[in-house]
Amino acid sequence: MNGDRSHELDAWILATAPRATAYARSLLRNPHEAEDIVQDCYCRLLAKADVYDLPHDGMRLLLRAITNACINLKTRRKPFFRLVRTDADGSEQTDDPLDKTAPPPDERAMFDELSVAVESALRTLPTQQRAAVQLKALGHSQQEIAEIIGITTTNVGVLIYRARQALAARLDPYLGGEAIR
Amino acid sequence: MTEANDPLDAILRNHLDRAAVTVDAGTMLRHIRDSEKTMPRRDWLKWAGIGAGTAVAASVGGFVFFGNSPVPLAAAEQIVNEAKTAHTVPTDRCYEVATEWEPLLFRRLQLPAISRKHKLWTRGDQFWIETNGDGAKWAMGQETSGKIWFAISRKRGLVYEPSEVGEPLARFCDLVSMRVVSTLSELLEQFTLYRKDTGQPGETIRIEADLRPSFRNRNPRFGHVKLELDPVTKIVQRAEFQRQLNGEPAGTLTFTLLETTSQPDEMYTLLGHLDADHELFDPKDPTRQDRRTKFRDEFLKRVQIRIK
Repeated sequence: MNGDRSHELDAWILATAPRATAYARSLLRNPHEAEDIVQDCYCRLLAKADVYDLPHDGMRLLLRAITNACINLKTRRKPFFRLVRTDADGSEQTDDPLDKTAPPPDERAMFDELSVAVESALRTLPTQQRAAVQLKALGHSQQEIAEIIGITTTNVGVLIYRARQALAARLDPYLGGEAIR
Repeated sequence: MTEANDPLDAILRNHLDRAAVTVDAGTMLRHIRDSEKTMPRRDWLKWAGIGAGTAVAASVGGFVFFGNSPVPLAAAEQIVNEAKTAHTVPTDRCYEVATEWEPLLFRRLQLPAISRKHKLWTRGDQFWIETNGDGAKWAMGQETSGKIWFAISRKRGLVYEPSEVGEPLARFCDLVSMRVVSTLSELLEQFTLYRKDTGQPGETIRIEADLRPSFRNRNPRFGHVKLELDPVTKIVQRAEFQRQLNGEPAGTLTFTLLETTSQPDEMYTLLGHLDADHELFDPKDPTRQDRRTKFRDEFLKRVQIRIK
């Protein structure tokens, strides 16, 4: 690989890594696993740098690889049984009270109220819904989200609709009464 | 309402943006480039498959061929765990400690940047330090109870209870000492570890460690660490720490193993460094409290690392 190309790819990694890692963390909740997955995905894409035009098309490929890896990891590690509790509003919470990956109280205090609310609202969503609604927020079209997650555009619409309904219910106080589509 | 103005999208985008700013892209780039230099995991699987196939074929053919198939390196984490176990055995080891403080930090603190060398004796997590700085030979150490002692000479010693130590002195002890077992545990818990050696028989094991991004906001003690371990015993032969204070680089400390010799137990206590006719300034003598406090403060001035 020549020097210019290598510099171009380095610049692409530096530009995309923060958002890609943030996205992976939101899907996995475990920052170390998320970083490992992002790193692994970058390595796999860089191995095919001569096939893909990564600086131009790489972000979508990267998000696709991250989404697949995160969903695969979560599926593979699905616990033998789940601790499920039902909130007053009927929604199921699958937070494991013994989850060691949950942020410690001092870390939680570092984030403001809205961040905590968004984080806990996102945690109630299944991974695919979480991925779809966040990709939409990042400006991806339904067609792009469908390619990234590997489902049909119709399913993307359903996922986004359900995710937004659930998030809107939980984040209502912060939305200023704005209607949610 | 346009897509861009959608309040829920804005909240989610802002949430991701806030998480993104905590990511150290530079370190990730370095890790990615380092990973590329080693064989990717999928290739290991391929090699493992080929190796297994070769072994089966060789067995069927009546011969076994293990020729040049690649031998996987033990993971850095596994090696550090083995080093931790090796250092748990109470053996006395002497390290030379070289300190190179960060000139910018010390200039801002109006302290001259200095380079010093002293000897550090460790046994598990106990330690004592011996130095010849400023032409005067003195020793200091910390007992397992947290008490800190100084032997200014063979005739005079001072003892400080943990409640009297104070932050600057505690920080000094933390900076110049190396509690090997605790430090290795810290590396395993908070750092991403990489092997930098090729794993050839007899080659010194070299491991480097970078602080994980999620620990960066917790006032970490080290930024980057380099370890050199004996390939057989896994004992730390050399350790280089980029020390940090309040999130800033403070300097580089290098520990080099000088010798492994049995030391009497009392060398880890003050009495082991004093003659029989010594004078002791300890908390039990209230008439000398001022002198002890004054000595502690003057000592910190002298070693020029009062950082506060």
